[in-house]
Amino acid sequence: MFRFYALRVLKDYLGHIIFIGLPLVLIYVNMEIQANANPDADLGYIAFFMGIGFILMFQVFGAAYTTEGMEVDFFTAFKDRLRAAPVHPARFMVTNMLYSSIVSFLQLMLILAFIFVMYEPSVSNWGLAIPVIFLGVVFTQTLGAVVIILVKKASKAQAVITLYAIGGSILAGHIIGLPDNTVMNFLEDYSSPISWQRLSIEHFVDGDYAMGMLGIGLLLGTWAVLLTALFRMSRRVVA
Amino acid sequence: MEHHSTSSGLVPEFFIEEYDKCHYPPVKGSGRISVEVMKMLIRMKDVIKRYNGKRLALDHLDLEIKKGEVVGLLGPNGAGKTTAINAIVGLLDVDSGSIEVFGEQQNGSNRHVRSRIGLVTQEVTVYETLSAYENLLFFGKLYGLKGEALKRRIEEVATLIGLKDRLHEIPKKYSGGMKRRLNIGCALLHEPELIIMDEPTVGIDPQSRNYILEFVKQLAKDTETAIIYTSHYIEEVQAISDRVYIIDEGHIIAKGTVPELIRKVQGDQHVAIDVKQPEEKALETIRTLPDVKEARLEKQTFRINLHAGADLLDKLIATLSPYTITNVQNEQASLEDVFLMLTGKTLRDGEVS
Repeated sequence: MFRFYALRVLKDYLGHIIFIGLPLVLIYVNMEIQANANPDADLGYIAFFMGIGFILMFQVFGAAYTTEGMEVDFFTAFKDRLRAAPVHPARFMVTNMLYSSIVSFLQLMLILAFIFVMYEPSVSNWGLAIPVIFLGVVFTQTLGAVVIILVKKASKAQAVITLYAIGGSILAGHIIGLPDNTVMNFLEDYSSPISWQRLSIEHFVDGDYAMGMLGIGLLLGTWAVLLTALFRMSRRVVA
Repeated sequence: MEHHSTSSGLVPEFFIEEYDKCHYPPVKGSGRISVEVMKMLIRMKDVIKRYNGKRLALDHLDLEIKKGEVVGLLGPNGAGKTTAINAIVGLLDVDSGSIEVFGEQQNGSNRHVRSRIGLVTQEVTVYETLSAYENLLFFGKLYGLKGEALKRRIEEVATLIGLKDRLHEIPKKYSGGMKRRLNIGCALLHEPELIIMDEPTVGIDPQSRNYILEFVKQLAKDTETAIIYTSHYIEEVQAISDRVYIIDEGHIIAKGTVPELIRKVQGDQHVAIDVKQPEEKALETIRTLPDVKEARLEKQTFRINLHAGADLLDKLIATLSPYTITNVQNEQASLEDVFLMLTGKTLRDGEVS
């Protein structure tokens, strides 16, 4: 059964173009602008954090894998066919989320690899960004599962998630520069799981592990709450 | 070996086995041998189901299905066909009444019962991005098949549904009929004892429809699989069903074989056959045929009265063909007439006639 869920996600070629191709183009174009505007700046460092910004935003869009997969399995005629099988329906949900997480994570790693190949950033502790991104992916796919159960349609779920991705990215300072004041600085660091991941990665890079762990802790705590909510809500679809 | 009606011990088991071997060839697929007249697979008794505590979807529904029979479940949209099916499979809880499936009380949690049922959903439920082969592999594995046995079974099923040559294409490239056949194939892999087909021919061309109907008939004949076939295409149900249940507003309003049901609403059946060169001696032959109540010759027209529901037209035509038939009129009630008379509705759209 696992193989087929992997196949379903891997065969979504349009998804790969959007989730890999688009951020790569955006990073490339932005870096070209940066290189022309500030030729003496540490372009590798800029590329790394710009890349992290796009990774964290497209990570949220990646929740589409879970929402679309679960829509087919639980909110279309497939529901009866799968429920008629001698397999507990929870397995379909868990497998869906698992493979959506793996594929989404691998896509984001390709973006990270592109940054290192193209711009050779010299950033310490950058490897710690990988588990943070992985946790973020798992969180996002869980969020996708909760939202699709609530709204029952992938298009609606994706609208909600897109709003969160863009709103969260703006507040985290990824899309536009925010004013430098206490409130905005607080929002930049703590407004959403996107901010928490950025907070973690920035502090790990700076060698401030305690603050890095704070971001991870917030993410894990919220994920636990989300997972509990999913467990309760999923009874509606997998009972 | 199935349990036999002789389980009282009066007949030794080995004798029954030997008797079976002589008189009943092994059933293809299941590997079992049957000597029972008919084994009851499904028994629904007084089943009531309300949606949201209000709308009555099943209203004291009684239904029985025996091993190896094709049962047609006829009813207009919203009559309760799909609800009845979902209750049998255990996909929904009923409010009261009992449902026995393979001798076990269906309560929705006995998943092993589901492994003996194949469900063909009303809508095509195959994954469009996976090839037909991958779809069959997926559904086979869901039902516990694996390895070489699964691959062999996929080959068999692909041959049965006529998709062997296009097995590695994705269903997106298939016609509607081919998708429907794949949809059926996915429910056959695990060789279920009961196949439930919920409107399996909706929206496909006549050629594919005929293929599916022939296939269903052959499947029931070859494997002794019981089949519940729901449709609002009366001619389909009439063509393939051993017995028919007519359901309306959640309860069974009539049941029986097609001729039985027709007999309920019709008196005699009248056939008029015009020929070029009539001869009196043909009347004698016609009168010897079973179900012929009366036959007479009026000029060039043989007028024959048959018992209601008699299926004699082929024989009559064969008898009179030497006299050059020019016209045949058969005034026989159809299942559609039965339904119309019983419910006051047409089946196709459920509208009040």
